[in-house]
Amino acid sequence: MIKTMNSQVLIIGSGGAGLRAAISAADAGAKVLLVCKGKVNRSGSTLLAGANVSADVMCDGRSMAAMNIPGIGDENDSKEKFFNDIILEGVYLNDRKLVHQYVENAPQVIKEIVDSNSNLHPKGDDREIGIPGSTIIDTYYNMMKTRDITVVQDSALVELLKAEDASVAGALFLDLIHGELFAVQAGATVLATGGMHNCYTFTSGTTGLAGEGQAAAIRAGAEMTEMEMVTFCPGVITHPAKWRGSILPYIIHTNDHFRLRNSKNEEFLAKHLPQSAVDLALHSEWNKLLLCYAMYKEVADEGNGDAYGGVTFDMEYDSKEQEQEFYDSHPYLKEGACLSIMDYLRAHHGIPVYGAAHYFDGGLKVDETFATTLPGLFAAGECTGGTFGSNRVSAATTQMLVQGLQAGKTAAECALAHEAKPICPACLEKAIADAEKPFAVKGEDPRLLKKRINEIVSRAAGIVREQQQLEEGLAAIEALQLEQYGVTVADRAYNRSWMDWLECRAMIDCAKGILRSSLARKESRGVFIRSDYFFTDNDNWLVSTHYKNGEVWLEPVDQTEIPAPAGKLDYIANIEAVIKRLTYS
Amino acid sequence: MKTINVKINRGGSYQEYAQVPVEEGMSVMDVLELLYETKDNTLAFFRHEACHQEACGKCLVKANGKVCLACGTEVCGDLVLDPWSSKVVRDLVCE
Repeated sequence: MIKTMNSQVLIIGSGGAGLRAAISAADAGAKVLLVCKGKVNRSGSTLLAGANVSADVMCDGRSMAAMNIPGIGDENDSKEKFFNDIILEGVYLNDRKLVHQYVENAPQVIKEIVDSNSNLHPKGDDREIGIPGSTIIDTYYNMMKTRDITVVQDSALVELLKAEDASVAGALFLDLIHGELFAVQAGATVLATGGMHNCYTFTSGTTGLAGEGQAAAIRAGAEMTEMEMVTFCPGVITHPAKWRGSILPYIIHTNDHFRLRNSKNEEFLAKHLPQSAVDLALHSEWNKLLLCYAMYKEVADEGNGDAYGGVTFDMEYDSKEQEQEFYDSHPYLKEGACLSIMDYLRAHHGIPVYGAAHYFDGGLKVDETFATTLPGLFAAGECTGGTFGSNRVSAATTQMLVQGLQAGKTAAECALAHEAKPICPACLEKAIADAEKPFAVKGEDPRLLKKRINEIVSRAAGIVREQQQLEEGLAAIEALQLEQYGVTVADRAYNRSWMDWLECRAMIDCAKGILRSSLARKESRGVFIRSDYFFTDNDNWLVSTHYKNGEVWLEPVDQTEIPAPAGKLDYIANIEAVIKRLTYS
Repeated sequence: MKTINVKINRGGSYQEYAQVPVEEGMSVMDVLELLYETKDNTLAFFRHEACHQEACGKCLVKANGKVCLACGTEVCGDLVLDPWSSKVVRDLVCE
């Protein structure tokens, strides 16, 4: 029999959401066990937020002004205006209750970071400060260390485990280093496992983001929402290989000096966007979707991509003084890997970039207490869906913290209210047997399957989608036979092919959700672009997609607060119209 | 495109991979991943949750005698790779 650990609250993941949830749960009086896939203070997306040089954390300007950081904040702003803007940015698809929770709690978590880092001196503006991802994670890691929280590292989620009454009663993990399965029995379980990046070939995430949390929840029968919404980041390095996946060009692009050129050395934004939208792409926080769309058109439709499948990002200055001014205002560019990247960019007159899978707007359906649809299971951060509707402009770093803050509290209340229910022995036995299947198969190599999944999802559910490609992609994913793939090494210790097999299982489950939900939405909205339905239709599509047990259905999104205007507009024209309504436009 | 020879300490003896094709700007991590993808699917090195951007500090290896981050070390020529510590789990993976 495998080793079983016990806890009142089990937290899965150690990015900002997991760490903040662990702290909340411990402060509420629960015994807490946190299990993470990598190193507790150095795994997950949080570390790479803002290329680990400048990740935005955001709240309303008035609350920001109260932090007393010189030059930051805006007394004339308000939580109401911030709320309004997040709904518009999400193109009216946001779950308003989750947005209220975000807006109300954002000042608290930002204050925690500012108060814990007296030497921070962050830069920012009315609603945001920019700090390295590692500073965020260190803040909460240090806070966690002062609590009695048990941590288990280098262990991947394999399956959620249920009690006899079908509530979630813990989870099965694989200790990746030693190759041993172990179970955790808990009164409440919090998923904080981040995005589903590994479904795609080109991503800005760490190597471990395979969507194991979402996939385990899907297999357990949880409801997912807005799975079709995937944010791509436009300025992600494709070459040289050692920097592939870095978002540094994106982080420094919001200024007047950057240029994007195709393989013929031509600028191309104006070919694909009206001038007003080009201005928005260059100067607004809506740049991700507009730039990705233009890049996609130039590369996929016009065939003007470079050798690495993307375009060239370059910086141009009118004078040496202007260049010096830029570097002085971005001091992190003068050292380490950032300096090397900038040196490369100068020497080669640009660096190859393209749109990478970056942030998953959809995920587990949660209420404002961060309870999922399964009793005993809670979720926080990027693995959830609904907060940002169809487009996240506001900060994911703040999302993970405010949601972790509440999810930890709710989970502790749940766990303290009743004795932990024992894991159903048959459920555990099945989970172990399923995970060990590849050892009994002399089959194909799972690394090949991983590539195949990446190719299918990247082609069918990329920056721009259409019916036939989505149908073909879904058919191809459904035709994959996971059971035909087996491990290539019998030794269980650090068995990469076993890890790949388990990741493939998760990626397939997530991919089905992404593809089915994409097929269900027959319009374009926010980051979701359909070439065959290139319009945003508020008369018929103010609905969220929901996915459970392989089925997709649509539900109206409550428009009581900040209702969308009626009508149907061209996709780009609608974005322009929405931006005009923002309080900061 | 040029080729290099890579020798990897696997449990005390070296396995040699000859004529590994490398491009400008590849890191030791990129070479290990290339070997895993194209030449040897039994090779073990830290990969399960790596940042690839010199931020997590988990991909330590000894490259040509010097302990370094696999993701942050550019490949300039032939490579001899050893585990960075004596607590070896398998191949280049250490406790």
